[in-house]
Amino acid sequence: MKYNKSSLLWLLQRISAVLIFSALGAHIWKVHYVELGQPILYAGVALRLKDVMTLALDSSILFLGLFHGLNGVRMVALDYDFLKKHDRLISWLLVIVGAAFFILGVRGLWAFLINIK
Amino acid sequence: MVTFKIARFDSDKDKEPRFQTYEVPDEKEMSVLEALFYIVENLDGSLAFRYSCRGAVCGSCAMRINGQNRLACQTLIKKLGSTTITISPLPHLPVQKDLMVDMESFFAKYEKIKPYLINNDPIPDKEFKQSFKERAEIDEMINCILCGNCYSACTMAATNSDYLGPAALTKAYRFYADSRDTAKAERLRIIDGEDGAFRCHTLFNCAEVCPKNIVPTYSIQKLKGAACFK
Repeated sequence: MKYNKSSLLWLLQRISAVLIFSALGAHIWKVHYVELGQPILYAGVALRLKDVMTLALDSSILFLGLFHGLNGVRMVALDYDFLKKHDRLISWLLVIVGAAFFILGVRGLWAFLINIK
Repeated sequence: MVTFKIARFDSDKDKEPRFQTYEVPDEKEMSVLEALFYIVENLDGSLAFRYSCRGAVCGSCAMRINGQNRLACQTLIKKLGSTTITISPLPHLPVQKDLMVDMESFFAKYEKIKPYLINNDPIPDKEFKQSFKERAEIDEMINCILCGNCYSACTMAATNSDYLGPAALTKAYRFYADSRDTAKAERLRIIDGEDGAFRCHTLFNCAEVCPKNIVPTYSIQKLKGAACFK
C-alpha cells in the first residue's frame, strides 16, 4: 500500500477515533470504577493514577486526542483558499501546539506518580 | 396568481443583484420553468435563464427555488406549497445574467477526472462484456446529468476553489468502478490529495439537492477507501 499525506492522515483520523473511544472506556473503568460499589473519591482516583500503566494509558489518550483534534483543525483550515496556501506553516504550528499540550498534560500526570506538590 | 420574486443581475451593468416581482396565473400542474416561460413571453422578455430539454434530462435549468437547488422543469409550483416563489441563481457560482451562472469551473473539474472509459486491452471481437452485478454498482452514478446542483450546494466547493466537487468525484467513481475500465490507478491518483475525495466532510448537502436522487457521498467514500488501500 502506498499512501500520500492526505489519504494517510484521513485514515489515521479514523483509526485514532476508534482508539480514543476504546482507550477512554479503559480509562473510565480503571480510574473510576475498578473498585465497583466503592464511593468514587479523589484520594482513590489519585492512588490509582500512581500506576505506570494508568500513566501510559492516559498519555496515549492525550496523544490520540490531540492528534485527532488538531488534525481536524488542519482539515478545516485546508477547506479555505486563503488558509490552504499556508498548509506547511499551519501544519507545523499545529505540531508545536500539540507537542506543547502533550508535554503539559504528561507533566500533570507524572505529578501523581512522583508526588510533585 | 402566484408571485415570483426573481433575482436580476447583469454582470455587465449592475453592481448588486436585486429582486423583481412578477405575478403569474396559477395553472394546474405548471412547473417553475413554464412560469418562467410565461414571464418571458408576457411580462418581461429580458429575463435570462438556461433551459433545453424541459424533461429533467439536460440539467440546464438548475437554479435555487425557495431556498433549495432544484431543476425548474422538474419542480411543480403546487408541490412548493407556497403562493410566493423566490428564485435565484445557483449559489457559489459567478452570475453571468439573472439566473444564468458561469459553469466553467464545474466543467473544468469534470474534465480533470477523465470522464470517459479507458481500456487498453485488445478490442474483443464483440463488445466488452459486463455482468448485471457489475453494471448495478455504477447504475446510480450513470444517471448524473451534470446539472451542478450538488456542486453549488457543496460547502467545500464553495470555500475551496480547487476541490473537485461531488459531481466530478461521482463520475470518477462511475469510471473507477466500471468493470471495463483499466485505468484504475490513474483515476485514484487524480482523486487522491488534499483537493480530491479527502476534502469531502460527508455533509450530504449534495445528496439532498440531486434531482436524480444520487448520493455522491457514497461514491466519494468508496473512492477514499480505494485510495487508502490501493
